[in-house]
Amino acid sequence: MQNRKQEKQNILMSAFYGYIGEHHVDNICDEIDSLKEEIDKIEIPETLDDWFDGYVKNARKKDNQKRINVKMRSISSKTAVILLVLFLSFVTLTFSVEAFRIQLYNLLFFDHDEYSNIKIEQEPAEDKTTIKWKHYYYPTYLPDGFYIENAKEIENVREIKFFNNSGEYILFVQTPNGTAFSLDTEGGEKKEVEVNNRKAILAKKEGKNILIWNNDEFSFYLISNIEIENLIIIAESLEIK
Amino acid sequence: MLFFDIVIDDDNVRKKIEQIYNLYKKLLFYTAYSILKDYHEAEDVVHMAIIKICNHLDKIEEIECNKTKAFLVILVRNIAINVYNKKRRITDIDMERLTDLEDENINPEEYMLKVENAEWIARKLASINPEYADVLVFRYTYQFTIEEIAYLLNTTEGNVRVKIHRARKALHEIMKGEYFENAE
Repeated sequence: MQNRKQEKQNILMSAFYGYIGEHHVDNICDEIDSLKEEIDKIEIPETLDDWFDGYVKNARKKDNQKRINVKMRSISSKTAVILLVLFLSFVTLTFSVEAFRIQLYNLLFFDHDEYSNIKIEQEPAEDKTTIKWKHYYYPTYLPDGFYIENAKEIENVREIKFFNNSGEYILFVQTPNGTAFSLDTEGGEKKEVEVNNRKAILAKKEGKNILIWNNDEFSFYLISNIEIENLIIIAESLEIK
Repeated sequence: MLFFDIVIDDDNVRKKIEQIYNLYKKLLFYTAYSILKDYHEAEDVVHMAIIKICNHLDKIEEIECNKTKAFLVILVRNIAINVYNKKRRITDIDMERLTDLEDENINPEEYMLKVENAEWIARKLASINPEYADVLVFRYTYQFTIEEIAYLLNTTEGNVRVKIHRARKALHEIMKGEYFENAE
């Protein structure tokens, strides 16, 4: 009860102080009016106007910058949404359409210091060391110690990868004639050789030997870090299976 | 050069501050100069005042009116007094124990009977100390918070509280009749 009374009294006194304040405001204005002539006569330093102009200009600049930032934020968030949608579409396509998946897997190879290693991550449960294709070429000669590490077919491109325990490898690729493939031989050595009396191209680059040739039906290439002579023997030993 | 701490973030606000400056710049400068008697210091005080006004532009509804004019004068006057006191190393205010003035001795009805003399009371309060009247106006007429007043007058919240306390005390003494006897 006492508090309530005190509260009411405070409200009343605040109003009273405010009312006295209103009169103080009027008194100040009367005083200003009486000094009007003197105030009008006073010289304002030019630097004050300069400061004010600079202040407003600076504020405008900050304002513009703020607007640009807001715009950029809005654009970048829209861009992020578009990129996300594109990414999700790409992921969906990749995992649902075989052609896309193959394209993507073609990109997944690891470039080692000494060789380029194509590594396919698809369907890991499948045995990749057994060849189940029909009508394909296979070398009857392989240097000692090489075994199939991986064999796979993507569209019409068949690849067999051989390894041995000394870190040597042979990548053998066969594809029906007419399939285009490009190999980076820039800066490497290139020369013509013969495989089974047919013209072949031998390229050497960064420790890799690349042999490209064909027969009536297929085009082949071998990439390896073993001796060139051995590669040619392997190429000449192909047999249809 | 003073620190810019405000972003005037739209054209209307910018126009408003430009109008205020153009209309009142002489008054602001005159008020500061009449206290400090130094052109550079007076200019600095006007800079400070403009920056503070920008932060409280929403409190100014009408530009050309007595309330705005008085607000600007009170603001500049108090900033200038603070600058003057600092320069002369006059300490602001000794913190004293704030005895509560929501005291039992006040009889609001009695005060209300005297409101017809409000103009004289206001003048009397300002004559005791213009800062008392100014701080009372900011708190109860313009309804600024203690924090806002401290920012506007370049002082601490503690000092504002002490000033308000003293202003009310002086006002009560006026009302009790110590000064009233000499009224008119």
